[in-house]
Amino acid sequence: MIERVRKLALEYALDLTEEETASIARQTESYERLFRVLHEIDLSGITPLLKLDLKP
Amino acid sequence: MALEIERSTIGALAPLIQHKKLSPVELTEFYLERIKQLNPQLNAYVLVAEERARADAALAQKEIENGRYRGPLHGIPFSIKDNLATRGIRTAAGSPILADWIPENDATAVERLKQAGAILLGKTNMHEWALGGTTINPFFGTTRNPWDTERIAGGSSGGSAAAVAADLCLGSLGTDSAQSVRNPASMCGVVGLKPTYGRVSQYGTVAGTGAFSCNHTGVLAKNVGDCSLILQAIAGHDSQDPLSANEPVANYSASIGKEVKGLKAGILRGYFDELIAAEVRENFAVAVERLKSLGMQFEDASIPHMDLIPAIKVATSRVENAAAHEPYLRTRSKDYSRQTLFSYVSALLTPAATYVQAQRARRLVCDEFNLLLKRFDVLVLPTIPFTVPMIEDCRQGYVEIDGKKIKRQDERGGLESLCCIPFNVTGLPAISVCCGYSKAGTPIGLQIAAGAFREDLLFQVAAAYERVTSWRETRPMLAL
Repeated sequence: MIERVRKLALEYALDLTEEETASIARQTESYERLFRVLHEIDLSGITPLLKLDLKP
Repeated sequence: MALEIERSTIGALAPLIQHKKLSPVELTEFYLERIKQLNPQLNAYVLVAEERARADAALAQKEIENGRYRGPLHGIPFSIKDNLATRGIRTAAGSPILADWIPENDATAVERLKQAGAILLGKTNMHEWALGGTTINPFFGTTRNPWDTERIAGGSSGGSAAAVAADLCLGSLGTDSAQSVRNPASMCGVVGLKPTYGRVSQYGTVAGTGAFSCNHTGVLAKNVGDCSLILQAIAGHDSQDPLSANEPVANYSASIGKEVKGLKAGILRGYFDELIAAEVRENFAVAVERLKSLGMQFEDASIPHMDLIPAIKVATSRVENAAAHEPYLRTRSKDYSRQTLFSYVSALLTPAATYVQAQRARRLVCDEFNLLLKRFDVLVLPTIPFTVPMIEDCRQGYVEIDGKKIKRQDERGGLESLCCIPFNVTGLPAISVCCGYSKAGTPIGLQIAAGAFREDLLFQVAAAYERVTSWRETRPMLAL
């Protein structure tokens, strides 16, 4: 993950310290853990919601 | 007259204006003077449009004198969160990136308030890019809670809530993509409404101040009646906003005063239960008993996939926000606070498949809520799991819950948002009203949600609760 953050920092010309790079990497990994539940349940056949087109 | 204005509401003052017993000029001057006296200690406003407000008030007065009274908002001074575009008035969204931006057009909701004759006093402070629930803003300063200036006002519409609570305006518009109207309304003891997704146009909301598919233009007001009057003025289809809904707008005032006997309410249970502080739990339970005494029926309610909501919300928001900020991240990265910059950089690394999977799960959750709302007229839960935190604690990154220090933010976002986000994911309307005070003397909020476009039901229940409680009679003590 640190390498991915470094690559991004280079592409966007972000002036990140090593500590900041590591912090962003840790943050991203914790989000990946949160998102795991979205990939663990069977959502096949469900069309992604593209607009909150609510009806009364 | 000063004291009556200070404690008064739109509902009480509008007839005085209509019958020429109070002039919009006098009213506007009262608020401008009060802002001058109190804003230095609260930092609710980041910009006061003094001359513009005086000119608009004079025009409103002339119209009324000439018999052209427009309705209950005519001559009423209000404020606007600084991420809603205001023609000719700087709109910075809490960021130095937009510090010089003067929009050429009003946001539709602002324009509609002006058409109703309301007087714009100024722009209110907010969390940087609306990305947080504290309104601790490194560029525009911290907004302080009028009930205790050592505590946060909530956020991201913290300036709007503080301005309404401290009588620095009669109403305000904010935006809510995770909590941002209801959280500060709860923390400042005012009414905060997040309408149904699409009910109020988002045209003119600064892009990147909330995920577009979760964001709502909302209302902050002193009481439920005022809230209904403001929604009435701003609701309805807008051809400039492709996400705006083309559904008829109800007569919201007709809901105020209706009985609630026989209405069924679900007490929403879920992943947030474990965080709810004892004081909040106690006040919430008393509020439920109060509504039961009015004849409402209650039982516990939930949906099968409630636990997915934080992941859906975070995946959706991160991707939509990152897309909006991408150009600024390339060119203005130094103009973000480090915390906000890190959040957006990290968001750029969210896989596209995760976003799509989140939208699948979101449809599932929306369908489950629609089923649940076939059994219940409304859902109720606390607005915020804990009492209003100290500014210093938030700066240090924690909140205190029942004497324990807990990290304020985890991968689900700010813990204060967890009771609010189900209604950003589903787009269902929700309102926060004051349901008591903590031992520290700060307000606690009761949140009521309903089916799509049933803001009338929210007003009915919230107004009934307000009628039988006296929380609104207690006001913050601010030294002038």
